[in-house]
Amino acid sequence: MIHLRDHLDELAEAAAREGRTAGPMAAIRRGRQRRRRLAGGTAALLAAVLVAGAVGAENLGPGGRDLAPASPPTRPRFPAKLATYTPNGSAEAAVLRLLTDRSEGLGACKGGRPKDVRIIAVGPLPDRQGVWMIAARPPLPGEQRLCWMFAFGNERNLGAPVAYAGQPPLLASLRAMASGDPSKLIVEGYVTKQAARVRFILAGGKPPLDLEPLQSGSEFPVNFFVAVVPWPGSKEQLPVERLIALDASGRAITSCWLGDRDPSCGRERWR
Amino acid sequence: MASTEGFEAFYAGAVGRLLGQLLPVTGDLHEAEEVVQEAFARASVRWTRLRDYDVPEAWVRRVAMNLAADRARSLRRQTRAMLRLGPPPQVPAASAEAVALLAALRTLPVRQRQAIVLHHLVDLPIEEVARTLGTRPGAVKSLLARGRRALANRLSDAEEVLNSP
Repeated sequence: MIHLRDHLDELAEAAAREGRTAGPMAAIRRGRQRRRRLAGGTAALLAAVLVAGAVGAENLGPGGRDLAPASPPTRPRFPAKLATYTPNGSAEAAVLRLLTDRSEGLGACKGGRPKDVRIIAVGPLPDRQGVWMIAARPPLPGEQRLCWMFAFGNERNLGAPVAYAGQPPLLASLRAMASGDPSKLIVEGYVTKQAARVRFILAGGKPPLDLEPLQSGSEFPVNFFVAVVPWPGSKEQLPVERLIALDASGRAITSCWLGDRDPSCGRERWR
Repeated sequence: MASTEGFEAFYAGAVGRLLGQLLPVTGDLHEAEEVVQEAFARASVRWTRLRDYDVPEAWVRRVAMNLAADRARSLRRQTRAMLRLGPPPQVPAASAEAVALLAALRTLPVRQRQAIVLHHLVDLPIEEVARTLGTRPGAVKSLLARGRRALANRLSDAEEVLNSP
């Protein structure tokens, strides 16, 4: 029996009890920051965007592979600080703006050093559809949670980013999320640094595909990965069923299931 | 400091209530936290004016509702057919029935969710819901009727939902 009012009240009480906001002073600071931005101060990022630099150019090759971390960085320039990163082209700038706009969410994430948001990696989407980015905040010593964010798109069409505005989930040895459209599935996540590869077990008995994680640097306890997998035919079944983290000798470290049937790759977000 | 005098007390008094009202609209506790905090941030820079309002909380609620709707629309527009598959939404601990209701609410258009929350949870009369949502009372009645019908279908408990006050 569903009593609408009773259960709305119950939900409201539960949200009031368990909801965590950053508090009134944080709201005041955020309001002031927003006002400054609107007043023409523009985000520090946008100023940085205009600074000349060649960072990022070679990471944006045309097209895309079926399953790839979309060109791992070829120079040791990641993780770059968001404020010092110079995007290459308007598509990348648009995604970076999205990342900045929503970085209030990442900024409010309960974890890591305040105002220290790093771009872990940038890469192209297939068929020149734009770019993706991963950003994260280095966790403080002993911290067991990780504030990270994935965004993708171009100057016209920006995809929904993953971001944690509140307390992020506990660190896991393997975590992944996915977005799909009629032609492809984008899978992003992070994995323990013990893992040399992430194996994608594909649906329909297709041969598995391996992916090398993107190195995040010593300040992060995990490495990240992004993959774009073709998704032809029926949308009833995900093209990727399972992810397995493998060490350098090929031994499985951990694994998780993707999708909505038993989505253990993101389950630990539940408290 | 004078420009924010009284803001902390206002925040402390209203934040829990607003989180409770925005959760059924966003369907996700983190999203609710985010839009409520952003609405308070916007209120803070207008506080010298808002504090003289009869019910400044109504202003913050309206902004939060608009932000929630903007985010929902933006998500739909930006991603079109895209479907995000994980992780599951963050929901507070509640009874199975309440969680089922939250899941059913998530399937409704955001305007229907807003109308249901404002009318059935916040207890606003139809005319006030219409003012908050920037629409006509007739449209609110339609949103409520369609929303309740859709909830009834999803919860397979038509009589109770349709007859709810």
